[in-house]
Amino acid sequence: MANSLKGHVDTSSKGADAFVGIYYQLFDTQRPVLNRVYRDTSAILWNGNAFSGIGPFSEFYNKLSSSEHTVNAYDCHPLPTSTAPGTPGSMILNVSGTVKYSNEASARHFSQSFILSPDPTNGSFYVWSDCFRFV
Amino acid sequence: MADINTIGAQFTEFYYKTFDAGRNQLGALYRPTSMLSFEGAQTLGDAAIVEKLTGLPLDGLVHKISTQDVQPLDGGLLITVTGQLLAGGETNAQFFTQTFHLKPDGGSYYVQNDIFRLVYGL
Repeated sequence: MANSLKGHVDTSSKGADAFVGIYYQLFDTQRPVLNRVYRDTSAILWNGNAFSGIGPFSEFYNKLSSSEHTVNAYDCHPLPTSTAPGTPGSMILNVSGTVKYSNEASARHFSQSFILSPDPTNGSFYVWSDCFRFV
Repeated sequence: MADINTIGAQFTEFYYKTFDAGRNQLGALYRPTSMLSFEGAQTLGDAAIVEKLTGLPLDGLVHKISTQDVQPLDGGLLITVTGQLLAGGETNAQFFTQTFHLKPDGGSYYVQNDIFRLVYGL
């Protein structure tokens, strides 16, 4: 049990590193392709506003001013899974940091909780659910 | 079945009241499979988690919830909380964010995952 949990923790950590590395970069510099990490089934809460799936959400975020995110910390936990260790399962990822929108004078703190699920076709993770809040 | 927002709100109210009054009472909320990340330090299992939390050099804590969002997760709940934390004797509150994954157990819920981070000043 201990070894299999460690395997899942390691796989999730690597997946989280890769996801955080790409998500905010896409949000800040390639917003039109951010939709690739979401699905029609993604459950999204953005500062209290609910969006069912990437369609309505992308309409919303494409209207936001340009952004610059700075990630201060992130933590991930694998979610219990019966797949073999090293096979990616889902995970919880919580990110905190600051974001500066071009139409605002000051940066804001944010906290963002993701549930990420593995995409079986390419080994990456997509957003199962997303909860973003200004702190 | 009670709606998840109600369940979430009842849980966080109970959690922070218990945390602030006496952290050693929190053990019943966790299980041997539970995971805690507290400011980056990772702990596994209810016994170790209670030891970690009661060992924190913090007294007279008061948590104030600013926002809480609840989303369903695999038969349970994912709760994302933001708020402020005041430690006894301090005048400056610190902002925090905490994510809970609750799983059903009989008629109630336990904490399978708990992630806590302070959010520092700009």
